Amino acid sequence: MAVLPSPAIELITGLEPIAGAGLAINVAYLALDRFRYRRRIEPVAEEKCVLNDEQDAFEGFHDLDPVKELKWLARRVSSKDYVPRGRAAAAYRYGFRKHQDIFFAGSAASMCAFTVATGVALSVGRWEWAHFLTISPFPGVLFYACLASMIIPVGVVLAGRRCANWGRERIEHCTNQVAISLGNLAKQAQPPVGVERREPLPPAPRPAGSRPLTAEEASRLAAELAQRRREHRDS
Amino acid sequence: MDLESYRDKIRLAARERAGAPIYNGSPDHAAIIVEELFLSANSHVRLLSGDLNARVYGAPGVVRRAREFLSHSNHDLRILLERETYSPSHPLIEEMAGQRNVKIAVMPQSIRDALKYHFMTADEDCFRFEPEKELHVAVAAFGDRPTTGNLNEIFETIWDLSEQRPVAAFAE
Repeated sequence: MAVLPSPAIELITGLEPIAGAGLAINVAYLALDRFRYRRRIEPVAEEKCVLNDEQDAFEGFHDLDPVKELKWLARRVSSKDYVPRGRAAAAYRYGFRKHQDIFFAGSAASMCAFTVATGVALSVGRWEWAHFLTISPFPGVLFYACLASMIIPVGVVLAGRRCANWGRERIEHCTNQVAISLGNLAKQAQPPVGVERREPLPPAPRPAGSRPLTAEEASRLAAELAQRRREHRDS
Repeated sequence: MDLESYRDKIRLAARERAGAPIYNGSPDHAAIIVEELFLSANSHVRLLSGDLNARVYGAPGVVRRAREFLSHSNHDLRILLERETYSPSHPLIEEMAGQRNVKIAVMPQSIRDALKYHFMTADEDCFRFEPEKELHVAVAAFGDRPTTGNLNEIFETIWDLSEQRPVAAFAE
């Protein structure tokens, strides 16, 4: 077993604190539900996408932008067919929509774990194949990789929160837009085909010689009626 | 959105009466809106339905609100149905059995075949409208007079062409 000179090993074992911290942060990111940002958007959007593609609330329903956006958020359509505009949409698309964040955190955690394990292995005279890591530029590469593994999850968490808020706002907005479209349908609804709409009833004709009540007469009449009601109730 | 948040949203809309359309995508949400329509109505409730989906119209909250609405003698509920294919033990039907201010009519086959939508209105300014009767997607609004007026006119048109049935016959 070849034992390396200690300064060379120390280059790797010296990375243990930063690699350990990177490992802890990324494992926490992977393990905790609070960091599953896609789950805060996708099921909510799915709940609103109550129609299948075959079901039309009305002609052209599925071509409405809010409907397409809801479907995109629910991952019913791919980014080839529709992509919402804006930075938050791009961040969600490239950072979270296909679990890219989980892939990154998994890779970073693996790399940090490997760095820790290699440091220990080399210091106890194992893993001879890993000796190349003690030669420049690998210790430097590992250092910056571990540093990035520690820092980037913080940025991912901040971006994830913003994306989750953006997603909720977009779902609310799209739902309201769909409601407006449906409301217009209600406004324009017609009786079923073949049924003539009934003429609106004309106002009841006023008896000959009568005139509208003045405000004073109306209030006197209302007071009189209220008095009669009270009397009737008391009796 | 959970049911309680949705209920709060509907209550707020009913109180504000601003006429803003509210999306409705599930039977549970539909039941909340129907409850609120009964609560908001001061005199008339018109209901055009297939066969009174028990998940919506049989929900305990809806039945309770309907009972409260019907307890005023000057309130009136008219129900226009496509079919009579529901259970006699339907909670809302049972509730209405002894009420005088309820009228039920069944529309003719020709209208049923041509009818695409269902709706419910409360007085002259609140409604819930399902554009496709086979789906649960709907929109509701509180304080929208023009749309409610249109739906009420359609209701009256179909009502005139439909056959009224005694309420007691439905509960047997």
